[in-house]
Order: sequence, then structure tokens, then C-alpha cells
Amino acid sequence: MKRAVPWLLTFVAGALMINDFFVPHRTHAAITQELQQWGLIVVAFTYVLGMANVFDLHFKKIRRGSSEALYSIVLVGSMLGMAALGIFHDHQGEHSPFIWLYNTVYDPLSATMFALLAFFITSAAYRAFRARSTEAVLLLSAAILVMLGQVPVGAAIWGPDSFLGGFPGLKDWIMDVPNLAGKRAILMGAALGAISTGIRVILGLERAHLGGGK
Amino acid sequence: MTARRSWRERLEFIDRRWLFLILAFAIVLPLVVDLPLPLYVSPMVQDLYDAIEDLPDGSTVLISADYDPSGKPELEPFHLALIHQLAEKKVKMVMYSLWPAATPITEAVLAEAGLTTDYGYRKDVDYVLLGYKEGQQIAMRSIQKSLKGTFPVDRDGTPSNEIPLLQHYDTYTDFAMLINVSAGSPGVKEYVQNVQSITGVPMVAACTAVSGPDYVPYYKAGQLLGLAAGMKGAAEYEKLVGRPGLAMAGMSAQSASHILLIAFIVFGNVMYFLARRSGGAR
Amino acid sequence: MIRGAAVAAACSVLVAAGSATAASLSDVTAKDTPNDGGRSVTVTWETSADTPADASVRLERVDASGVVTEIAVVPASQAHVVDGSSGQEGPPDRTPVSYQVTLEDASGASLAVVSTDPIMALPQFFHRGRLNVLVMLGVFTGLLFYNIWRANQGTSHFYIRRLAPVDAMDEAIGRATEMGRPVLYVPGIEEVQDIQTIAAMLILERVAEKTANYEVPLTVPTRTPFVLAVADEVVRTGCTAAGRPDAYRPDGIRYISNEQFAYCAGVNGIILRDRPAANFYLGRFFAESLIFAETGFAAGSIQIAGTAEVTQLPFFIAACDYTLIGEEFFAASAYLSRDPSLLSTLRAADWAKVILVLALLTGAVLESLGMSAFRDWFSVAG
Repeated sequence: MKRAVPWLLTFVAGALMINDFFVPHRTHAAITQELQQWGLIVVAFTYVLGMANVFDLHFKKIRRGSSEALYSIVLVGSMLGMAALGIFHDHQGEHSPFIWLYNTVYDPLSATMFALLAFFITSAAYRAFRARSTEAVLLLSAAILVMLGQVPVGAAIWGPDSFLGGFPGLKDWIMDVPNLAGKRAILMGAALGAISTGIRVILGLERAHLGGGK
Repeated sequence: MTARRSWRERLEFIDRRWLFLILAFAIVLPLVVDLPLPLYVSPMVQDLYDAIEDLPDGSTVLISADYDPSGKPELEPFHLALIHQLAEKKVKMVMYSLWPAATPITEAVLAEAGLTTDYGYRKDVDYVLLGYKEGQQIAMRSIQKSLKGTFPVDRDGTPSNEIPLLQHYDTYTDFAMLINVSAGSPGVKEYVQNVQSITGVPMVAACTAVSGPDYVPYYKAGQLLGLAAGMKGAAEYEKLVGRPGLAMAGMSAQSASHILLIAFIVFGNVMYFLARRSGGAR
Repeated sequence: MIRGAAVAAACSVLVAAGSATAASLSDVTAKDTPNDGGRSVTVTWETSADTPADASVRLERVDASGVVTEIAVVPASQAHVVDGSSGQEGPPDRTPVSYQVTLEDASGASLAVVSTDPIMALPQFFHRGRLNVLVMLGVFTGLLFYNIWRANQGTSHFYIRRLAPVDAMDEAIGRATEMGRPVLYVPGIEEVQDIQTIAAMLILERVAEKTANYEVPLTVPTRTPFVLAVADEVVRTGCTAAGRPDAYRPDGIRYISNEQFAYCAGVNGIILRDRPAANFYLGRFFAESLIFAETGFAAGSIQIAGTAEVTQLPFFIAACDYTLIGEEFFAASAYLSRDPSLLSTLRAADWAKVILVLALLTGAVLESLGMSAFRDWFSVAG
């Protein structure tokens, strides 16, 4: 029973969603829309679960007084503070404390994390891009051509009006022909894999995510 | 006993923080010292611009801004130029977001573009800001059934049914175009797979540079009428719209960083070959 | 006959008296909107060449009792209006209505009026424009069932090529045991309904089983609370399957943040503080992929990644020890289980791929010969 009910729910929901693509009838559409609304509500409620998990984990750390307790205090304090500002104060307009924190703390922190990517790309490229084999040489050459073709300085060195379209022309060819061919092959394989996994789940062949095991 | 490393080994396995420092200089310097470089417009961005330009004046578009502060450097310049192009054509806009942090960014972009102050757009009549909806792809599919059902109220709490602009607009196909400004998921891929391919609504998109190659097949297949990828795409679009902004200013910094990255790769390989010649390569 | 089929006859054409132009309407049709949920009729028209550019068309619906409802006023060049779209209530299903189409000049003066025969809006039970997708889905599902049936008969031996990244998982967990350090499992940053997250959950069960066997702590940081709930259940199941329910540590399954880079910072913090011996990045990733992989490299962890997100694959390949590419990632749980019924689905996917390649080749040849019917069959109607 513990296994059958979740599987049955998965099967019915999955089959309805697949049918939704083929059945335009209003009644069917109303059922699937209702299910999707339920989905939205369930997703919204899971945030309570997420918050409970965060509090549980970090209050334990604070109680233990471990070396990470200070971080936990900052985390819980920031979360409660931001939530309180969002709930009890106006969260629109430039004079809102919520928006002020958003602009001065959240915004730069988030942008900084993303900007780290440029630095990590540099270290990964320096370490991993070695001309160890013919394939690696091809990969390296393509990478250099694409990098040059992607920025204005490449066009300034060898412009699109030159032979072969210059660096931008070569970049476009690499991206549109060999790169796109490989990408499409991977995408098709992945799509079949995804459908296969989806059907395995709907049919109940795989049910680990339901807590039922094999 | 640890053998002392030779200078070559030290360079080959250099502390990555030195690389980070040099890269930081390479990015900051061109932002301070102006380096004029030619900027060519790619066909994808030209097509995007033309698709919007071909919209009848006074038509209504749906804009899904799906990015957060981390994506701002790449996407905000495009978003701003987009509002300018649409406003100059008197195109009406219905805007929302499936990313929680995007709505304040949209508000800031609208204010910076002077949508109400300079272009005279009236809230709920010429533009609507519906705000954020949780649920990602579920919300996306829900809009396909009913926009007003998915967003019962707008950002300010006005019931959607009472908004004059939404009187005749409720599903994707009611709009002249769907425009997605996206930093990831849910974004361009999900919109093409769940919405464009099913409804056939004309769609253009802007995305981050790293996602660009992923979405090119959609442009090639005609599912996207145009695509602006990354800061370069935004810079090209700014050039077409005739409003040079942060993206065009960032092009020289991006050029310098690419050249430096190539220099690092070449340097790393020279060290590797020197090591191989002396029999120490791995 | 008015049942759903196209009814399109112009009943009357009136040219407004005294009008300076002889602009007229022709081919005015009212049809039940095809492949829809009902309550919708599409009205189309053609205008004569001398129609003023600023002319408009006023569309009105006339019900059986003669009540007239204005539907829309649109530029005449638009040539069609769907009654029942744009959030407007269309005509009731199975009730005859007719339409009056009026061509007007810029001042609102009527240039021509045409009425259609009665028509009924009907809902459809099947979208005919998507028959091709149903056929392809049917073929694939058929292949799947056939292979599962053969597997259940026990008559078929399934060969599966070696997947080095999956084999390396044992080695990585073994290394964690020797070093006495935890294993980190990052199930991507997508919601639980994403198929890559589901695939990550399926692999997580096997990983949890192995870590429970080896008594290695397992840390699973999640980006969404929904994934947290599922991951918690999956790890518990894995530990129970290993016969070690006591190995389940609820503190290891953590919700970090729904914000992408806050989550990224949180996971980086775990990597740098806990120094896991093995990091598994399996699921759907975006910009954070390289940040994780480079931080893991700096921490000296053995790293195994798997994703179908093509743009992130190069980063994982550059910075991780092993990477499952696209379909390999989806095949991993079947590979780990060695269950014939699961392996059989991989064979079905391979057969489907052969069909796809043949279709591609056929399409390329026919298209080169100028025959586009084959290609057109694959287009999906909106």
C-alpha cells in the first residue's frame, strides 16, 4: 500500500500531463490546470519545510557552540531580519529598508559570486588546456579562435570583411557547424534518456524518489 | 624530504590567486582607460532588433524577465535598451517574472528608461507589471491556460480582471510577441519547449553568454526570431537601438580578458612542453 | 449543415451608399477554431485592393435570438479574428451563432457588411496537428514495453558498455572511507519535477546505499525545499536497503537557499570546511558548475559529475575527474542497479536513436532532392 499509492498518484499525474499535450478539450485542460495550481501551492508550502530545516540545523550548531556557531548566528539573523522587513515594512520603492538591503547587500553579493566564474575559468583553462594529443590541439585551437571571434578586439585584428570572415566568421562557423552538430547529438541522446527515465518513473520501474526502493 | 621546485615547475603550478590578480587588472584597466574597438552586429541580434521593429505600432508584447542580480551585468543593458526600443514604437508591455529577485530589477529598468516620465506610459493602460510567480515551469504552463488566472493581482495588488490593458489578453497567443530575458532556468529553453513550440507565439530572447550556444539551435530552427547572448549581444543591440550603454562600455574589458586568457593558455602550454622536454611532464 | 465543419458563405454584401470608395469584403468565413478546447470560432476575410490602409473591421456575433455582441474592431489588414481568445468568452459550445463583418473607413463609416451562415463552436478531444508526436511516442513506448517484456521473460541478455564515471563512484567512496572524510552529493539546482533532478535522486539512492555500507557520512545540500524532502526520503531508503538504517543522518540533508549563488556559496563553504574526499555533482547545473568543480579541485576531492546541460559539460570535463555526458547520466541508475527491466529501457532508447538517425539521413537526402513532405511531417502544430 505504501508503495502502490504514491506510484498510482505518479502514474495518474504523469499520464494527465502527457495527455494535456494531445487533448485540447476544455474539461481536460481544467483538470490539468487545477493539478498545476495544486503543484504551485505544494511548492509554496515546502518553503516552510526548508525554513524548518535551516532553523533546526543552525540552532543545533549554535547550541553546541561549535566553531561555526558565529556563521549560524549571522545566517539565522539575516534570514529573520530580511523576512521581518519584507513582512512588516513596505517592500517597494527606493526608501524601503527591504529594497535598500536588496540593493546594497544582496545585489553586490550575488553579482560577486557570479563574477567569480571568470576567475575560475581562468584557473581551469590554465590548468586543463594542455596540448597533450591531436584532439587536445584541435580543442585548444577552436577555443582560441572562438575567444578571439567573440570580442571586438578579434574583429579589429581580422575583421568580418576579410578572407573567411575573419575571426568572427571562423567563430560563427565553429559554433554553427561542428559545435552545433555535436551539441545536437548530445541533446538528442539526452532527450531520449530523459523520456526513458520519465517513462521508467511513471511506470513505477524506478521509485527510489518515492521512498519505496526497488 | 621535499625537493625544491624549479622556476619552471613553480610557473606551471602557479598559485591561482596570481592569475586572479592579473585578470582583475586586465578587466579593470580598460574600464578606466577607454579603448575604442569596432563592434560588428551578428545576424542573431540584427534579427532580434528587426523582429521587434516589424511589430505594428501600438501592439502588445509579453515580457518575462527571469534573472537576478548575478545576471545584471550581462542582461540589464539589454533589458534597458529593449524598453527603449519598445517605448519608441509605442508598444504596450505586460511584464512578469518567474525569478523572485527579478521584479525589483524590472522596476529599476523601467524607471531608468523613463517609461512613465519620458515616454508617457500609463500604468495598467500602456504597461502592466504583474510581479513574481512561484512555480517555475508549472507557472509557465499555467499562463498558457490563463495569465489572469495565474496572476490574480498585479504587483500593486490591483485585480487583473480590472486592469484595462489585460481586457483582451490572457494567453501567450494573444500577444504580438513573447520576449524572454533569461539568466538560466526557468528561461529560454523552458519557454521554447513548453510555450513557443506548442503555441507558435513569435518569440525573441536575451540570455547569458554561457547559455547562448545552447539556444542557437532554437534560433536556427526559427523558434526564436532573434537572440542576444551575453554582454556582447547586449552591446550589439545597444548599438542598433542607438543607445550606447554599459554593455558597449564593457566590450573592451571583455576583449582584454579574452586576450589574457589566451595568453595564459599559451603560457601554460609552453611550460608544459618545457617540462616534457626535460622529462617531467605529467 | 452547421456542425463544426467550415461554413463560409457570404449572405449579403452591402456597399454603403454615398461611400467614396468601392472597397469590399470577400471570402468571409466563420469556422470552428480547430484543435481547441471549444467556445471559439475563427472568422477570416479578404479585402479588395482599393481598401484604404487605415480601414478597420468591426466583428459582431449574432446569436439565435438576434442579440448582437461586438467582438472586436481590428485593422482590416489583420484578415482574421478569433472569437473566444484574448481572455474573452467565446460563443457557447454547440449553439448556432452567425457573425456580421463590417468594413469601416477611418471615420467609422461603413464601407461593406457581410454576414456569415450560422456556425457552432465545438471542443476537440484530440489535437490533429500533434498526431506525429503521438505516433513517435507510441513507437518509443512500444519499444520500451517490448524490451521490458523480453527482460521479464529472461530470454534476453543486455550488454551495457562500461561507464567509467559510474565505476569510479565505488573507488571515490572507498577513498572517502580510507581518509575518514565525508562524501558530498550535489543534486543540481533544479526543482524536483525536472527530469535531471529525478535522475539525480535515482542515483542518490545507490550512493546512499554504498556510503551506508562503508559508514561514510553523506552530505546532500539542496537548493529547493521540495528536493530536500525527496532527498531525505531517498537517503533513508538507501540506508535501509543497505541494511543500515542507523547510518541515516538527517543533518546531512540540508536546505541551503533558493537563491542560486547563495546556494553556490553555501556548497563552497561545505567543500572548504568539511574537505569531502569525494564530490558528486549530478543533476542540472548552470553557472555554478565550474565554481563547485574548481573549489572541489582546490580542496583535493575526487570529483564525478553528470549532467545533460550541454553548456556546463565543458566545465565539468575540464575540472572534474570523471563526467557522465547527457544520456550516460540518465543511464547511470540502471547501470548501477543491473536490473534487467531497467537495462532494457536503455536498449529501447538505443533503438529509438537508430530510428532517429535513419530519419535524419532520409530527411537530409529527400530535402537535398527538393522533397519536403518528409520534413513537413515532423513539424508540430501550435
